[in-house]
Amino acid sequence: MVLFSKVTVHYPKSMKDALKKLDDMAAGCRVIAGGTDVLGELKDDILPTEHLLNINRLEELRYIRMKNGELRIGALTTMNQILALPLTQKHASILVQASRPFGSYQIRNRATLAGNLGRASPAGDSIPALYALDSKVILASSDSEREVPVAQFFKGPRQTIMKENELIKEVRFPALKQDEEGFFIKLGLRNASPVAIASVAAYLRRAGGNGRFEEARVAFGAVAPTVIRAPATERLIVETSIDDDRLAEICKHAGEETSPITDIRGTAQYRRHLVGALLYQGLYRLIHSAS
Amino acid sequence: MPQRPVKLVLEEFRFKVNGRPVTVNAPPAYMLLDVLREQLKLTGSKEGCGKGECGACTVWLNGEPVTSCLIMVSEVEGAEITTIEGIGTPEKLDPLQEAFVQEGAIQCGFCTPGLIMSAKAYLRDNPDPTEYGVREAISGNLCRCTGYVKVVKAILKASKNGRKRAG
Repeated sequence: MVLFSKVTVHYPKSMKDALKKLDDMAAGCRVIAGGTDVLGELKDDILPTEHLLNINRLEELRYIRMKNGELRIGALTTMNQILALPLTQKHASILVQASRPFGSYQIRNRATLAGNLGRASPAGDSIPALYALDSKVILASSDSEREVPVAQFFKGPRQTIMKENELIKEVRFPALKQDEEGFFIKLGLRNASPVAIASVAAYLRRAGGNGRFEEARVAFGAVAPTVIRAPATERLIVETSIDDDRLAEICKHAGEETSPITDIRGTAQYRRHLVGALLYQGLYRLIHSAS
Repeated sequence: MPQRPVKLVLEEFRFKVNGRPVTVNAPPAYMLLDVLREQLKLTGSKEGCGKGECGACTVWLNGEPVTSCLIMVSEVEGAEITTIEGIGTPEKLDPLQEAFVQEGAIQCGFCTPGLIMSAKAYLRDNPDPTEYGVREAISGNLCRCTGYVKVVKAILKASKNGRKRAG
């Protein structure tokens, strides 16, 4: 177990200060924000460290703004803030739905959006929603800034394309408009702090009102080394108009796009079946709802 | 276990607990839960899992429920912490505590402080609570004894009691 009495906690005074410290310390430290993941891991001796770069006080990274039809969420925005604030409720329903079953109320008061991204768990709940929303991740280092589409951000479990001296600064995506909708559904083993056995996020744009969709973005979580899009399923959704039979047919094949593992939460076979079932649940409700 | 005495790096942290200012000397990465229990002798908050999954350690940080087993003491410099010891008094229980007692929502009592902290924040922010809302609000607090039925009933009852008392 990490000897917490030997851990030094650094509190940078600004993003600039934090990035400079990251340049100096890089692999010798772990970045910590809300700490709900990192501290638990240190208690289990996972990726131990003697230096924590605590960025949680950088209020400059905690915001939700709208600019030019784009929703911009600061890296340190907590999951409860995403749930509660009007801008996200109005324009980011898919992410709000992903935030609701996230952890617990206590965890959501601390857990940050960037933390969920940085941890790069294939089961991370915000991630499929961000895929469905076609999000971009803004990364900053002391001498540059870059924009990475979220689908290119992850390389595998715990692996991102982030450089050692980079911090996540912001996540942005087009605000959902009237004719755009979506959902996030996950199944866990209990109702709070459930790691997803599988999760499904979808973005859909209707083409008129007869069960036809113009565009579909579907993302699956916890069924591959990273969150994945499901292009074949997306094509099937927009190809023809969807009635209940067609929906069942599409969902039956959804699992074919996944490469899940068997672990303590479920078998690969179960997960392959589960994504189809969750997709069916979400799409069925959406198609049969009023708007 | 270490073979030699570990040289502790202690720093001083000042914050408020239940309205009173405290000064604590501790390693910056020590958990708030441990500091509350061992240094401040406020043993109402419990360690159930140490990982933020059971909620037995729930306290308020600047009025918001958090799991204190995952908060470092250095993080609460300048902050206001509220623990179960700050809710009601033995002479005059908070309406929520009274409802727990009246409804039989306490068995072994280990989860109770955390539940009270979560529920009280929920009732504070939701003057018209629903059963679903209550269950969602306490979903981060595990109870092995009660099955939650009387807990939920007590929380809903407390909201009516509170309103009655407030007039």
